[in-house]
Amino acid sequence: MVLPQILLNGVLLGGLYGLMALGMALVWGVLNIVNLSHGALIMLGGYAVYFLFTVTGLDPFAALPVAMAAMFAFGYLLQRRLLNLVVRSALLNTLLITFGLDVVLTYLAQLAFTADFRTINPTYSGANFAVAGLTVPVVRLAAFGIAIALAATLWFVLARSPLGRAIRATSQNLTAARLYGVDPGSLYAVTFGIGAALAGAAGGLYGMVSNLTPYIGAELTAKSFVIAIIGGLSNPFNVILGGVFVGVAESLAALYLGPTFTNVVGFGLLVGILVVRPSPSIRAA
Amino acid sequence: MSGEELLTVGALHAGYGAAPVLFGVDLAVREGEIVSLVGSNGAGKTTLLRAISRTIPARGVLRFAGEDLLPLSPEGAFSRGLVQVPEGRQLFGRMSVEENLAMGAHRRRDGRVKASFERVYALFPKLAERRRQLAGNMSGGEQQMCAMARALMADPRLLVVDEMSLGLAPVIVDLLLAVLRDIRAQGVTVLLVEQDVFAAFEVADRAYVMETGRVVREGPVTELAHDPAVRDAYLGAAE
Repeated sequence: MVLPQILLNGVLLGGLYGLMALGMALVWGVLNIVNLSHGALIMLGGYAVYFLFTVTGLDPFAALPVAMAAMFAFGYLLQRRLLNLVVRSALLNTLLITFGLDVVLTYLAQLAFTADFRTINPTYSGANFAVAGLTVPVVRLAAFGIAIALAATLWFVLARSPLGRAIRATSQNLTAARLYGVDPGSLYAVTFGIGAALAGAAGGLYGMVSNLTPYIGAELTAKSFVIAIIGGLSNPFNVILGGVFVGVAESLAALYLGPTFTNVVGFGLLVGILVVRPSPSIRAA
Repeated sequence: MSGEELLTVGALHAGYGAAPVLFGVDLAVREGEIVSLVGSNGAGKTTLLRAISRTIPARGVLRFAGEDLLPLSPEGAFSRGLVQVPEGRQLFGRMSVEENLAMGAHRRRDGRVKASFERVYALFPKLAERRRQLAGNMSGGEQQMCAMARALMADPRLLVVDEMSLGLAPVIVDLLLAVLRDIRAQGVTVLLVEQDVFAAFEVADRAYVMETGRVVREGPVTELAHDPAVRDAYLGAAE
């Protein structure tokens, strides 16, 4: 029963990976910003949930919406005050400014939170149940469910709501969107805010299944980048699917090759996919 | 049939940075009229439209329904009912026809958006058939219809149509001209900017002829069509 268990673990972890990449794919697709500080936003979301849990005693799952709201506000202001300066400019500018932001956020977090490892540890964190001989960890299952629910919500907002229509219209034709009364500055800020809120949710869940330090951002940015490319930028469910794909591949690599090979496999997949099936996945928001 | 002056342009100067393009343009559109603005490439038509829609700075008189337009932003002019059908259509290519039309009504908060959908689908039955189709996959004529319908969804008082006939077959242009008459019959005033003088004169009540940043002729199209200067320059000598 080792292989089915490994696959289950990979799928559950992959859902969380997908959620991590969701905000990055949204911002990339609509604003054409490859946000290198996305992992740092995930990290901040993790700390937000951690402190809500340890200081106020709020249940970490109940703290998720609070952290998401805070991260939305933070992302909105970040875009409004800073990133709107580089939106739709050369890719290098956006890479430079978001890389700088990543460094600033990481070391501010180190200053504020110290470099200690922290885990969000509610009483039920070790709970699990058995189904058909497989062990299902409760927290990971919940994280997976939340990832799917948030992807579905995002899909609904983009495809069916007036806000989503305006977001898609602006990414397709800025001139026409302005002509019909869309204010791109605030629309971009709302979009980035949504991306940051999704990162915040991912961070809170990550803190429940793994360790938080101020330095987790870089690796999570890289992972999100890979998954955003594999899943494409246009459909939230494909991003989750991309996350599951990477999660399963990593779990299998850990089983057959050893745990040190997980990142090799993740990026190896990216290279392989770009060679076999280039461009359609990275075009079009 | 023409009433109060809806759009007033007086001694308007505008340009790009240090390069002036318009040198004192005078133009008026009265409520219920179809007015045409014609002129060759580089005459300043598009610059005039940009000044009117407040996307470039301008000096002079610019009034819409009695209100000074000059201090307004493009959104401000738009929300007062001054709506453009841009040159090149500028559709949202990967959105359906229906979604494109919905974007036209993006800023409307009144409860009559549904009625507007019915109204534009009645004007453009073709769009009603294709409402689920992606705008980018339609023919040029259908795209122009979609662009005009989207502008009507904004519930305009003045519809400014830029280069409507560009690149379209004559039979399609005739159809669109007929729709302009219907639009006017529904109480929307129209300013039609055209290089195709034949098309413009077919539907307009009055016209302005621009050359190098100035209005050089103006009057009812019935008179302008017989004006020797206009005939030589735009209509050709053939009788």
